[in-house]
Amino acid sequence: MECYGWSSVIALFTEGVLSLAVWHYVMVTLLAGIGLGWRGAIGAVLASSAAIAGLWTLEATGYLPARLVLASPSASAIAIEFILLLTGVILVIVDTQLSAAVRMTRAEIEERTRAEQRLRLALLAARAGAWEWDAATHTVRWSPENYLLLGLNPDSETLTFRRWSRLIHPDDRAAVRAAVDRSINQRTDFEVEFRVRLPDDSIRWLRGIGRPVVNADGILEGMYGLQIDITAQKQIEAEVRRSELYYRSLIEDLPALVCRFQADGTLTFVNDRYCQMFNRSRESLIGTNFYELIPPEQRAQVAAGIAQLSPTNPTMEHEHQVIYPDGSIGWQRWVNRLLLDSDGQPLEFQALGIDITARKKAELDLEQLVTELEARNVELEQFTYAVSHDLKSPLITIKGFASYIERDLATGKIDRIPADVERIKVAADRMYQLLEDLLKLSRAGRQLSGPERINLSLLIGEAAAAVSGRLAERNVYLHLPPDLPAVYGDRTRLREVFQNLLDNAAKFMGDQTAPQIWIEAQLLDQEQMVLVSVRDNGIGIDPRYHERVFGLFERLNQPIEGTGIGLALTRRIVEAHGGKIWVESEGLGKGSTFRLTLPAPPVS
Amino acid sequence: MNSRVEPAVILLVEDNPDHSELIARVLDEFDIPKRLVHVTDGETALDYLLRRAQFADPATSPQPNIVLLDLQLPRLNGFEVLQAIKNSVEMRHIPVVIVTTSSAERDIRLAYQRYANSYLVKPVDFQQFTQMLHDLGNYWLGWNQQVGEQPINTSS
Repeated sequence: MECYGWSSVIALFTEGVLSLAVWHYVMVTLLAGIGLGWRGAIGAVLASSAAIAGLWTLEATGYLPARLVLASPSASAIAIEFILLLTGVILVIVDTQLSAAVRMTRAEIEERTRAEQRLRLALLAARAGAWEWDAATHTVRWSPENYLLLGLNPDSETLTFRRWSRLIHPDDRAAVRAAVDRSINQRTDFEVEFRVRLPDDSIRWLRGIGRPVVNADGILEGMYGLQIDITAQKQIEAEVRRSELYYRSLIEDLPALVCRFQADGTLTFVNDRYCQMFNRSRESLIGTNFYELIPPEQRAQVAAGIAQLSPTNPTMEHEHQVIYPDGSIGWQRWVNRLLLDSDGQPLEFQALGIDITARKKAELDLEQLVTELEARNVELEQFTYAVSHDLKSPLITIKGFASYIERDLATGKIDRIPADVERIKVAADRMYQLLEDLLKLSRAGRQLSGPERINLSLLIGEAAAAVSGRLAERNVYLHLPPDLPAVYGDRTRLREVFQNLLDNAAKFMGDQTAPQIWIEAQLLDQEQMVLVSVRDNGIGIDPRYHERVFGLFERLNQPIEGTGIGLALTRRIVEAHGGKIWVESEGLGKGSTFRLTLPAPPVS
Repeated sequence: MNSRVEPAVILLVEDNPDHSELIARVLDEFDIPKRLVHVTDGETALDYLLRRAQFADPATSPQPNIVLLDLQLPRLNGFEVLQAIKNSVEMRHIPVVIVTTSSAERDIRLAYQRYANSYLVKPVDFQQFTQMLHDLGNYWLGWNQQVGEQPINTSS
């Protein structure tokens, strides 16, 4: 075996024809191992072993001349087999190691490819394209999405920086350049929005963002970034702006007041008309509380109305008074709305208002007119009713006694004729007086002619002179202070008032032995009125009749002559002056006091 | 027509002295025995009917067979007097005839709502005035049947 040591193995590869075959087998096995993996190597080894075994069989059976296998010494054959097997084993080991490495690299490549795909998909989804600028080579690398973004066909043209800058809308080029330059100079990120005109002439909005890359030495190496399609966003922005325009123009052009305020009433917005209405600048109004513009007594009511508002009940309307800059009180009608944010939470209040002062005034005037008319109607009804009674009575008297006179004349019974004639005359006088008083009454409610400042002491003096006959007849003493406060009204009518009151007091003195009338008057500061009282020590009036005495044709005391119009007339005149009249008396025998209010002269 | 032994008592409540004189003269011509009591205001009328003050004696102030009531009266008006009469168990059987100048529908309604027995408007024409009072006397004091004064505290 010594002689067949390594030398014979080496000889296998170096000597004779066989060496070629051996090399051949080794190469085939190696190639099979490299090309097909360890399975291929094993296959090749098995195949070559099979071939050698076949050759041996053929040579041994004599079908082939014993030149290759059998000619070799068996040791050679075994060595060959051994080498082949060893080669196979080495190959298997090598292949296992190699393929593990290859597999690892492949996974990495796949992973990277997937990541790149993900990025691509993300860019596509975001309608964005990535780019990279290399400062050294002055080239820009564009990701494929940029072609889509710019409407370019990647098969027919190549995107370059020049091509890209030509696509930018001329109006936006300067802005883009400035943004990029600033980013380069200041080493800061840039963000700029610009339009590009695509080859099909449509306009697309892009947002470009970029970040400079600087190396450790502070040298600019390049820049990378994205450009993103923001056309849809821009359209929404334009719509929002348009809707804002509609809202704003509506608020300013609306012939109404618009404001927004917080729950405590602090104004956060007012429109021009609001400013004009209160004659204040927007700046001086915003931040102040609108309750200050409402009369204090109405504030609680307004606040209660606004407090009703809730997410389920977000609007309400109300009318209230306001204080205008000239100090006048006006009326406004408001629609208040609670504004909610997108979560349905209360944000603030918005209100729309109009001035309704004129309408309110008309309403109040109308109401007053209706009240006056109703009162007038009632009075008229009462009037015709009473007139029919009071005018008819003397007629019955006249016709009745005239008939008796006629009859008495016929029968010659003349003794009661003079008394009957007297009755007729009194009845006729009474009718005349009634007609006179009715005329006065009809005049009393009419528009007063030119009110004037009147010296009350003098006026009552005149009235007393006019009824001096009655006062003298009853020997009445009149206490009239000379310095009564002045009043303001129609002189003639007011004299009539005091004539009636004095006459009335004198008439109802009863069996008073020292009849007296006291006049007093005082100024009521707050009401700008003068309170006058006419007090007597006459028969007095039962409290039950205190209201009735002022009624038309009410005669509580028949034996006293009168038409029953005097006090009704007096009340009418006083009320036409805006005053009131009433009577106070503790009852029969206690005297009575008529009190009336009359306007004081205006302070000039 | 039935004839009376007792004179018929007529309570005239009238504030107008001329009218009461005319009514008195016309009633005087009646051939029925009668006694006219004249008061001039509502309160005195009730004083008489309720026998208060100077009317306390039933002998001198007998219950009237009929009340002739004006509406416009001093102090208590005719409606108040009417209501007082018709609200009283002792007096509501007394016929109350309203004799007034008012022909207002409101007055007529108010009077009947307070159980007036009749409502008459004084005619301006004296002929008619006389005729009306004659007819009134014939009807209420002649044809009409009446009950006497209700004894007080009758158990029914």
